[in-house]
Amino acid sequence: MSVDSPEASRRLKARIAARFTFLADQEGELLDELGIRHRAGRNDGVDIAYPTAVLVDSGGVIRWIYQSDSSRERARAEEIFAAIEALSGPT
Amino acid sequence: MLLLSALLVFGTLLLFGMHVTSASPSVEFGAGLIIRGGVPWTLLALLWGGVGLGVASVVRKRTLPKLGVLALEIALVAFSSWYLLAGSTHPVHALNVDVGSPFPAYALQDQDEVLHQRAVSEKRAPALYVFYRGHW
Repeated sequence: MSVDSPEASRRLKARIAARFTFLADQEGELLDELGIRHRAGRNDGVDIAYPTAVLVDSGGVIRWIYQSDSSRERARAEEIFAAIEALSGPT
Repeated sequence: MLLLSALLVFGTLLLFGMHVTSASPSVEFGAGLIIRGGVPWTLLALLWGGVGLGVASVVRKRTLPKLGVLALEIALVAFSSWYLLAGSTHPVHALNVDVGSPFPAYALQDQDEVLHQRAVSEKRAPALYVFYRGHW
């Protein structure tokens, strides 16, 4: 999810052959709901999202949130899988 | 020794710039080199190692051209270090949600302009929402 247009997301999805869905929050409405709008975060003054990952369970409840204070750090794959595993419970 | 120093500093910066530009033309430096690895300590070590060689060279024999090259190296590496370490830090901000909160409702288009909607507390398969800075 980003503030990019569907068209920009379509190009990116094709370029990196991603298999997940790209949602376009161009007005940043969901960013405001979550409190992750980075005002003028882009060099040209456009609002963008603070890099964030949110895991939501089957009841629509947030079960895990990742945020960093650096724009260049993202949740590592092992952190994400650990959160998903915790959500799934012991197998 | 100064030649080696200059090769290390300017060569590393050039290769890094080429790598970043080819991987992601955006200003975000979205290459895996940084995002997946956090702070690029190897890159910083190479740059400051090059500066160290430059300093050693100038200590052995001080000339004006040598001092000029060293000053340029220090300026470039200092700026690069600031940019890589501090330049990416966010301002402090507070989330409006926490673990245990309901995920907000939304109605957003995907990359094919298909509308995706979710109501608050709507029951459906678990989902991972990843918010990116975008600008690709």
